[in-house]
Amino acid sequence: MGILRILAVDDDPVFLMLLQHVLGRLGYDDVEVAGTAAAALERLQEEEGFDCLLLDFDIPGVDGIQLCRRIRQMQGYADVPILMMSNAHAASVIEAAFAAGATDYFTKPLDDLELRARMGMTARLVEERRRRAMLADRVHAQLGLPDEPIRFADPIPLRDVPDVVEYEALENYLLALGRSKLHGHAAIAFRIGNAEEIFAATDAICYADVLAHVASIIADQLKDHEFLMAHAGRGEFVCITARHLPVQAHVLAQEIAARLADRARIYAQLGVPRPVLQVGDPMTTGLFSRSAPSDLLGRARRALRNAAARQIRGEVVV
Amino acid sequence: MAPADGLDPVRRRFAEVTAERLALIEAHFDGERDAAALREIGRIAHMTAGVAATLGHAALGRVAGQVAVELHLQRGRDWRAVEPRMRQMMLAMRAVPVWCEAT
Repeated sequence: MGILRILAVDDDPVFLMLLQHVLGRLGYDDVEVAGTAAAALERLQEEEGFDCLLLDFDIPGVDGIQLCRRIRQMQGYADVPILMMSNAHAASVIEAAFAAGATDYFTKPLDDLELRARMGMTARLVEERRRRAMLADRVHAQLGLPDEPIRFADPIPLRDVPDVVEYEALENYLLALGRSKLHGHAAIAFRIGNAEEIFAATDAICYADVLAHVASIIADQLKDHEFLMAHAGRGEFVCITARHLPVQAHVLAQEIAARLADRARIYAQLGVPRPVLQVGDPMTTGLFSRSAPSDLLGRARRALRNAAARQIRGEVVV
Repeated sequence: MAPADGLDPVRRRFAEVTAERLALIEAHFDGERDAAALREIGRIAHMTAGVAATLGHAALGRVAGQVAVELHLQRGRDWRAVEPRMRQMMLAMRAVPVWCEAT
């Protein structure tokens, strides 16, 4: 387990003392604490080196959600794992946390097992990012490449699109919802059918711009509904919405296609193939399903991929 | 006996803070029973609910959680509706230092 520098923010000094103790027992000794949002922001402005932030949802004044949004805009903290802590289990609270940019969520009172699991995932995430950054630095130093290389399969994060979160955060959101609340939700997959062609025709920055453009159109179509969405890699997006979304997949697909057609000239000028978007049917879980909540995302993506493949083969897709 | 989990310093601090918070709530019971008082009691209940169970005070954690939720839902409008539950919480808070001294 790598060393994590952690900043925990909570207005209850007893909780902070307890959290430091429990984290220390789990092997995380480098924990600083702040009692207010202002103190936390000041500390983060002084130093960029924190690997993980734990924010209470209910701090007075600037609350945890607002604090999370502000931190995400700070230099060096766009993708640092932020774990929100709250007494509440309400789906709306959990969704608000992830929509504000949280990476994960856990509830109080502290549960050793849950905290161990959440922190373990966070440590692995930080370790993986460190490894990737080191690799990228080495490649750039050797080849003099200006841009960070991205792979087609990477779940490239799209940071400036509202209600779009990182794929890991979306998985954590489903875990935080749990099976019973997940029953009230559906996953809808969106897929840029010609994503591989676009990836091959452009550089990393342009490809990320295309993804962000498509994501913003999808988000705009869903703006009247509660949802969270992530890019999953390979030009695929997955969106979690209410189980009974009053919009049908084919209607969504038509509206998105029309919006993309409006930008046809810009894509032509850039020499980038215009994205062709496919929309999957909503996938849900049974109340007594035994599969992991995050499997729903994979199921939605696979179903859309299979449907698209059948369409290419000329089979009728119902 | 308190479990040998190294949490004794936190338990001691919790006992001190709980005594201070209990005194604050009692002062509100004796003074203005207004929305500001209910907000403060709600905040105390919220903080207490976040740690009590982990420190071995499951009953206090439960009742404090209920007070926090009830006060949040009714937005500090009706003291009398929450008073029985608040009294239960105060009772459980009074037990904390006794429990700590006995261990």
